[in-house]
Amino acid sequence: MPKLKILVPLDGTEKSLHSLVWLKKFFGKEDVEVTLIHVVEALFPGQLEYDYNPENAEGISSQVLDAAAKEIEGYNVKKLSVHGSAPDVILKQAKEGGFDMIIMTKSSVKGIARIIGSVTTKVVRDSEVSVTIVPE
Amino acid sequence: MAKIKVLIPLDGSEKSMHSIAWIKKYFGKEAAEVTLLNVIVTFLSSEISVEKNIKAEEKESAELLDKAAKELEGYVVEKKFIYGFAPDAITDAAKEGGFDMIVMTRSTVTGFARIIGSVTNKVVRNSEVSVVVVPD
Repeated sequence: MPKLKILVPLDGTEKSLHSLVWLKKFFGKEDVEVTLIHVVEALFPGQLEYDYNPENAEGISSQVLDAAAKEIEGYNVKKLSVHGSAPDVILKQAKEGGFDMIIMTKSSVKGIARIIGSVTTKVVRDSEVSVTIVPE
Repeated sequence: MAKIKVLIPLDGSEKSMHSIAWIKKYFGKEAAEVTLLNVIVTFLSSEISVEKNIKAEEKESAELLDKAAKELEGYVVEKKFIYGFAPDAITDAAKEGGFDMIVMTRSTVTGFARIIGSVTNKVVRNSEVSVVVVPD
């Protein structure tokens, strides 16, 4: 049986690591190859010229991705950092990369987490591959 | 490893059978035990027709569940129908039954199918169990 290709989007929160717990529970090291993706979003275009620093963003990305990769040590893992709008990047990657599944953690908290929740909603609505939503 | 307990809600559409195809693709007979659930939506109707309707609905539900179970030959399958409001019935059944995951097929078509799609949305939002959304 060929390995399943799984895409796990991470947003840097503790919560988004739940996806990895789920993955470990249901799929063995031999069953899957995992791509961890961190999307660097420029939320407020007006602030771009002041706050946005691509180098800094990539530093954050690699921290997030390395921490996540540690959680699934022993698995075949690829790490990916992409700039753009989170739902669009995730959907595009899932389709073009020929993934079998996206695993995301749901958020039910308000505030910034709500934006993350809306990413999940968009991905569920538009994805052409199956999406697993893990409760927090 | 204990078998994974999977809940598959079926609405009678061809589409909802995609969930079964998904399970067969990713989990073997030894890996998963499946409960097929049909929620009979309760409408208010005149008293005279209620009994007749219930019998017809239950027969239809049994046929649907048998047909779906046939697709899963070799798996441990339980069949179940309940009366109620679909999203609540599904999330309650998942929680009370100690399921590991719910597998549902998304709908992108309008019309009646849209109602089904909204069931998926509500389940994703309210479930305490992880939900796999399979594209149609």
